[in-house]
Amino acid sequence: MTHMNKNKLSEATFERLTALKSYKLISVKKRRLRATGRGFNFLKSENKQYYLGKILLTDKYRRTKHPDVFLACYREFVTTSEEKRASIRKSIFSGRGDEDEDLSEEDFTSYREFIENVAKRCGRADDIVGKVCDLALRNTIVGTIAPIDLPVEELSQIVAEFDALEKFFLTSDPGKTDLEANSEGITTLVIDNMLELHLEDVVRRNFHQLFPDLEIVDKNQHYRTRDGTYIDIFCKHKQDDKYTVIELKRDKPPSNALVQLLDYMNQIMEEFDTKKVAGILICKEIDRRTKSALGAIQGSLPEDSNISVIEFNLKMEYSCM
Amino acid sequence: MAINFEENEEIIFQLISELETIGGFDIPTTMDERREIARFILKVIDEDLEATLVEETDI
Repeated sequence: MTHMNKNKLSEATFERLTALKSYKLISVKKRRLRATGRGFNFLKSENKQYYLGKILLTDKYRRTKHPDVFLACYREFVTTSEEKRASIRKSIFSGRGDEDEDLSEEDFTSYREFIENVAKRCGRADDIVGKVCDLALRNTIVGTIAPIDLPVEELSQIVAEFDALEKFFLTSDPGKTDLEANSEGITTLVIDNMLELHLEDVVRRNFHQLFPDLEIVDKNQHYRTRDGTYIDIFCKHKQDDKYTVIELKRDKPPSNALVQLLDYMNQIMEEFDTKKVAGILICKEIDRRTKSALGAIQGSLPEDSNISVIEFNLKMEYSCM
Repeated sequence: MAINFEENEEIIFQLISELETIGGFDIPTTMDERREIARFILKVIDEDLEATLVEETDI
């Protein structure tokens, strides 16, 4: 039995403990350590690189402020040639330093082309794309692997799953994805087996299917009201000049969101000098109190204004997470 | 509540062994060393010594 020297033991333990916690394979609370469900599933999984890749991409996706750029980055990366992927890797790890001696002109060109292609895919500016790709592909926590170093076959499979989930969301099969008005006039949106995608990103990217009569007017950025507050999605009816404010609430109580929505609608009425402003609240579940408040408000809104509520149901039944 | 060292040590050992195969660690280790690390991780958690790991790493 060998014994590691103290420094090596500390350093090796630090990076392994940090990685275990970062991947959420273990949890540590009040000096208690336990393997998580994810940890056991990881040990049970037949393809551990794929499983770890899914953990990495899912967690990074949840944290990114630009999920559309994030997905475009991976979609582009897995279709890039092996040679160019190596150049992109070199560029990312050298901090895109064009002063780096090891970074050839060819590497830098490949990297630039990659960023431009991602930017084309998602319609975003190169500088934002560069930053998001950097964070998406490299490792930022000690002991963890950079996704860019995972086999491209595994990454392709994961990207295909993200794409399949998106298609699933768009399916018109009423048994799986259902957008219909119930007897109370509240629309129920059920998304089965869906990974925890960003609600706003999902709504924006599928906007035309969800709201065929509306068009987004905020240029894909939260609209800033005169009071300095930000509207999640600001849009307007295609046929007339009726504005619509969409407020999204994934976790918070919808009653708070309803007050927020009324505030935004009122601000838009004043800013655009109109009484024709509709509100849509997309929330996880409408409770009795919010439903009751909604009923009371509807009657007192201006004639051309109304509020509708869409409930969504995200079921997390993803294969091995 | 006391940590079940024996069971946890085996799980930690398996987890860090699998992670080491995939990559990401700067310090490669042997199987015996990974056993030692698994034991040490449990000691670090049990005795709340995480901060000392960073200090010693910085030396």
